[in-house]
Amino acid sequence: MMLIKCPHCGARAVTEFTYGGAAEIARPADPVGVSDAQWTDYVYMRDNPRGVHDEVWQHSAGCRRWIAVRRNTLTHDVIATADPGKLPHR
Amino acid sequence: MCFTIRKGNVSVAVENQRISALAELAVPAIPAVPGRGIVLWQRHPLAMLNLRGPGDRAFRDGVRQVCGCELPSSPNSSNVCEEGEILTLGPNEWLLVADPDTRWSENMKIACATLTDVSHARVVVHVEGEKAREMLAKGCPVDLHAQRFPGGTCIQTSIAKIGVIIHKLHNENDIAIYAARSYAGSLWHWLTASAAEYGYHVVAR
Ligand SMILES: [Zn+2]
Repeated sequence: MMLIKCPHCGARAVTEFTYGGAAEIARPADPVGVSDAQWTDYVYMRDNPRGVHDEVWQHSAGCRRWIAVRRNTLTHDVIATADPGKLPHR
Repeated sequence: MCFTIRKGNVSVAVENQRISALAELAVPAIPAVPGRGIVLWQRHPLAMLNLRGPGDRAFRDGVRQVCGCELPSSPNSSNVCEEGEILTLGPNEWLLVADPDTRWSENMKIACATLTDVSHARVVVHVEGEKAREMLAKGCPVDLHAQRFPGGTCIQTSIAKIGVIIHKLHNENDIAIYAARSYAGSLWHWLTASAAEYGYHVVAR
């Protein structure tokens, strides 16, 4: 089973967590000024990398905090975890 | 708090009626599977307060002065005091547990704290016995072995997909499980089905 190290609770089974998607997807700063295509891009379009991926997860069965997880999508290695926005730069 | 219920044609005043969601399930008289590998009992009634706050030094001092009990200092831990117990739920969230006649209340004045009375929200079942850990491992993803999970440890996780707080008391073989009262029946049936192979006994405490 994949273990994720919650920064608050320690290593826990993946079944305690809920996946929240790719990390650091920036909402358009000027929502009135963006086109439909830009909205579509923000809401739906995501990279689907084979390898290292930064994600947000919620420790939904534990402390219920949102956390950032750097994970290898090929090997399921969890490389780093942190509070949201606090992963070290790659 | 006082309200009335009807018994036949008569209205009866009931004060502070506290009926557990396990009232008809965790009954010692119901014949259990023979054997004493596992002992199950429910702790009821209880006062429970959800406490949220920054967890800094000033906040901890405030809690100690008002509650007479120190906040646990590390994650996944608890503190048992004369007044009651404080369980850590997260980096800025705790559960205060005490007997129903406690002086702890949501009216306590602690700077920067949010206190919510959640006494009716949960049921608490104790699983006791040498096989308690082995039995819970069937549905719990957290390692409850004493090396990883010593007495006093308190975590939130799930058992058979039911969200729970697990609190290991200072007696290694006494494990308290807190679950939402709406899941009480589901949890109870999982506990009794899982305890069946060891033999179990339901007692009143
Ligand atoms: Zn956590």
